Amino acid sequence: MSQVRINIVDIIGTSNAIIQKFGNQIFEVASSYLNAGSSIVLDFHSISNLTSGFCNASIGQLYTKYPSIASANIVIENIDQSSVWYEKIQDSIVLAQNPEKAVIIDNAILALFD
Amino acid sequence: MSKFSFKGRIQTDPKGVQQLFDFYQFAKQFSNCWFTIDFAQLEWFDANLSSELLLYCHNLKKKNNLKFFIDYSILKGDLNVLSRNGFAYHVVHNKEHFKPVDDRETVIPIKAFNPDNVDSFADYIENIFLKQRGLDKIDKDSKDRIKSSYFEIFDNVGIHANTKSPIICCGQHFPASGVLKFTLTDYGDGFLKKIAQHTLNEIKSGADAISWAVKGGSTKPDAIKGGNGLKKIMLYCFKNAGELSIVSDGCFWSLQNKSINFHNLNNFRTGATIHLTFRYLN
Repeated sequence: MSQVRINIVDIIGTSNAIIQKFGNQIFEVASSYLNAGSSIVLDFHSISNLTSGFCNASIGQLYTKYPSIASANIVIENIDQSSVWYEKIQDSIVLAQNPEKAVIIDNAILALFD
Repeated sequence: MSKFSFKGRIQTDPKGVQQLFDFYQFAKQFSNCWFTIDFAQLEWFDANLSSELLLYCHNLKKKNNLKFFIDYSILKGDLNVLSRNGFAYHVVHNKEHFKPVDDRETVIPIKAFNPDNVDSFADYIENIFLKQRGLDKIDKDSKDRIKSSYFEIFDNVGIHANTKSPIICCGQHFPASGVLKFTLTDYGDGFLKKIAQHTLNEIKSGADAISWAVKGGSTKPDAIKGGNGLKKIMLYCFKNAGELSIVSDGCFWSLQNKSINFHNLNNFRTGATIHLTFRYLN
């Protein structure tokens, strides 16, 4: 199986990975490689800002659409594992893999409306 | 007479927002003339609301060819913030009287962004705002959270706006009380249009549309789990005495003091405004 490196900054054209639209661009590019049977490396080198919205739209969406192959075929590089960014990425994966956690968060929101 | 007088206190609440819109409704009756914005009877103006007022002035200049007059001698004391944050300069274009110099370093200057221009917005938040001397007390983690929240809200406004017209931002911080106020506003579609279409008109009011959005509803065919961070901001505000207000489709929705409230606004405009207040000394 071939492995393709996706430099995030090259795809979105900026170091600021802060909007969902950019996350969707990464999802589309990554999907095309996964559909073709390649594994991918999502390279965060040179990224200066990252939001949950971007992570959910890119990585979270990949884990939702490819639940059986995502863990084995998506590698994330150039993220410090002790950073807040790493947490955001992990959160997006956990929410995709465990929809019940998303429901728990939604219920916490709903409780505010009671 | 082509003059509107603001009175009392204009704060980030339904009354303040309505008074700004009343100004717009009144001024819309005039065209091709000078128009005086009178602040003489004004006691207080939340600087973050300058973005809303500038949006109205921008439209009035463009659509009605109005030219504005502001008596610079009135902008002193607390009202001096309207000069320091660049509002008066942008409305009147008189740098001699309204040169925006923030000697107190407590304002987040007023600025307009194209919804796609994320680099300019990121630079504004990181380098113009968060490096201010007055924010030295905020630790790095809190600054990162604040920065990230502003980015998420910028994204959220962009998603709903469906417009090429600018998003206008402005804010203020109060170092003594540890309060940060920030507002983003646009003249796009607002929340209701897309949500009503998506729900086949099940959602019919501004209040219901905002509730639906903050609860995590998405107008995308395949909703992205986790959404765009608005829910996280809401929970953070709930836990940390912050405030989140969204104005759209004639509704002022707010999370304040851990409770959610709705207020209907009279004959309100299209577009959306998001106000975010952090309390960083808690």
